[in-house]
Amino acid sequence: MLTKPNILRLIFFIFAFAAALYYPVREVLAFERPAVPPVEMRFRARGYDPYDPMRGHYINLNIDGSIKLSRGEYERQVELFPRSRRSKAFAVLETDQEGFARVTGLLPADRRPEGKVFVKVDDFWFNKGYGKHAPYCNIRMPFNRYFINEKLAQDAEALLRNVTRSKKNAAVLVVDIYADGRYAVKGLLIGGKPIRELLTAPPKETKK
Amino acid sequence: MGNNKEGLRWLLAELPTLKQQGVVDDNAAEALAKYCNDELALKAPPRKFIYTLFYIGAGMIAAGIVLFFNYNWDCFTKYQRLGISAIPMAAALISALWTILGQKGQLWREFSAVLTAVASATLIAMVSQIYHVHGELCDFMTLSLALALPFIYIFNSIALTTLYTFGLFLLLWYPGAPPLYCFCGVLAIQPMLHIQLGRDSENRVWARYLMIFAALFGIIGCGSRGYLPLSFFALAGTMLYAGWALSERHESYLRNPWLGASFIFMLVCLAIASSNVRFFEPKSFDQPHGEWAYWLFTGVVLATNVRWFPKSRLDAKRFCTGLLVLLPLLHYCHVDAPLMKLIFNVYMGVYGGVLMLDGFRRGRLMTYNGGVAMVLLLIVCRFFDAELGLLTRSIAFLAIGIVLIAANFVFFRKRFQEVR
Repeated sequence: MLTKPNILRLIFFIFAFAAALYYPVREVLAFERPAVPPVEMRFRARGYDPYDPMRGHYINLNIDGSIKLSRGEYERQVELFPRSRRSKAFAVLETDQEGFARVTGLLPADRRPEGKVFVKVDDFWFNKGYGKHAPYCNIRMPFNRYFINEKLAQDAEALLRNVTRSKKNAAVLVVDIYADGRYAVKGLLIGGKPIRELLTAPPKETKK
Repeated sequence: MGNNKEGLRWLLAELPTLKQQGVVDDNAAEALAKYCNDELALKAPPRKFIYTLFYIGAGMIAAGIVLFFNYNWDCFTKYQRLGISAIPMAAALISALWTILGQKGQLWREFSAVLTAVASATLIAMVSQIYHVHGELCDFMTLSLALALPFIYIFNSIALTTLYTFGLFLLLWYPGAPPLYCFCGVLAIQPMLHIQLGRDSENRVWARYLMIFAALFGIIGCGSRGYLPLSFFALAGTMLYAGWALSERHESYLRNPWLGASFIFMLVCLAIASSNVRFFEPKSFDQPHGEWAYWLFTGVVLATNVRWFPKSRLDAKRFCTGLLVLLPLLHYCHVDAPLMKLIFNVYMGVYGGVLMLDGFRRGRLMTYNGGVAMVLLLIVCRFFDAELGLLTRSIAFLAIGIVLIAANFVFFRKRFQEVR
């Protein structure tokens, strides 16, 4: 027979456990069954391979998230974001003529850009642009990691470095952008092929 | 414990001799032998040592499993990965139900609490990893600690309290959690720490150490976002009062870490206050709700100070400690920073002298040495920044040296006479 403290303990445990499960389950459902299907966007990427003792190797990506501003726009943006770093904002995304995503605007967290594709960002800063250089806003895009098996990570880094040096659009990060601003990285393509496929494919036999 | 065991063995070995010499009769020798043998047989193994090894071992196994799956992670599909990530949660649920329904003891409760909290944090981390969602460590820790908190109270777990208290520091990892979250984080663990600090709790000494870390986190996360002298000295004064209250219960220095830690913290703050005017310039509240967090934290510390304030026995050193909390308030009476610096120089000298006198009168070497340390620190700080000539410094040093040696001589003579 359970004592009264243990009955209370059981009831509180069930609530606490449900609360602990709520967040990950909600996240998984939001990714797997979104109310509005996500928009697939392609970002030009560069990358390197850092090491983490627990996560092993992954590729740290450098995604271009800068917006060129006119002097007037710069003044308005700086006024809009008095604390540029550490504040939340929405980065509005559009697809350019080449089919790549680019950031076209930055809005404060209380002004949700309805009807547009956007992601939540929390690290951006403004540069005044001295001399002939125009002012700009630099945004650190939130999807800047691509996890990969540690045996492949160094090869992946070398491959990424080589292709992005020679071709600007060779490495592409494909990201699903959901209607509420969340995102899920779908894959990293090199020359149109998934990087995992390229790294695990058997080497082609050379003709003699 | 070890000494008692040795004592019992010695007594057992001596019993035949004692019986031969007629010190104890046969009945008494038999009763003593039975008592000693029973005590030696019943000696419990050192529980805390077993707990520690258990936790380290469990941690190593968990890390090994994580790394094994990490190595083979690419072999699984997304849904298999999600399933594997949920296994620790399932294990935690089974363990917790086993503990509660089976009405198991404290060791099981500790295990279930830690397992549930770690499993929940693991699941969140894994979901982020599977979908390549990037997040900040401070955000992850905020969520993980908030979810771990109920399990601390449900299982009354000191192990999870320890993990939580140290985990709080990860909230400060760049870019850092908002100060109001830091305040809520440190406030939420206070009831548990106060339960553990109770006289009946066997974890009370460890809880005292944890309280130091919680206070340190609070001062970094919330108390350093505004006018530093008020929050810093309020905390130092409060812990000093609490430390003195414990030392009056004849707790040793190892079992009473508040006294030493708060005194060192106070010395460092006083050295800065007496040397640098910028210490008195309020920091701007550059983060959302920074001002709220600062005042809430400082308010709680001041309220605790009032609770520990020794109303019945207010001697000179306790009065000086009270001044430590009140002096920073002069800033709000438009006293400028250079004058505040001067006031703290005078205060430091006076407080050091009061401690030396108090230690001398009561014959307490530690109090006396504390006063000496404070006066010496003041001298060293002024040596570096006072623009005095070499001759003046030389005379000042000689005079102070002679006074200190004479005071020490008188003190030891008094102690020697008392001992005799």
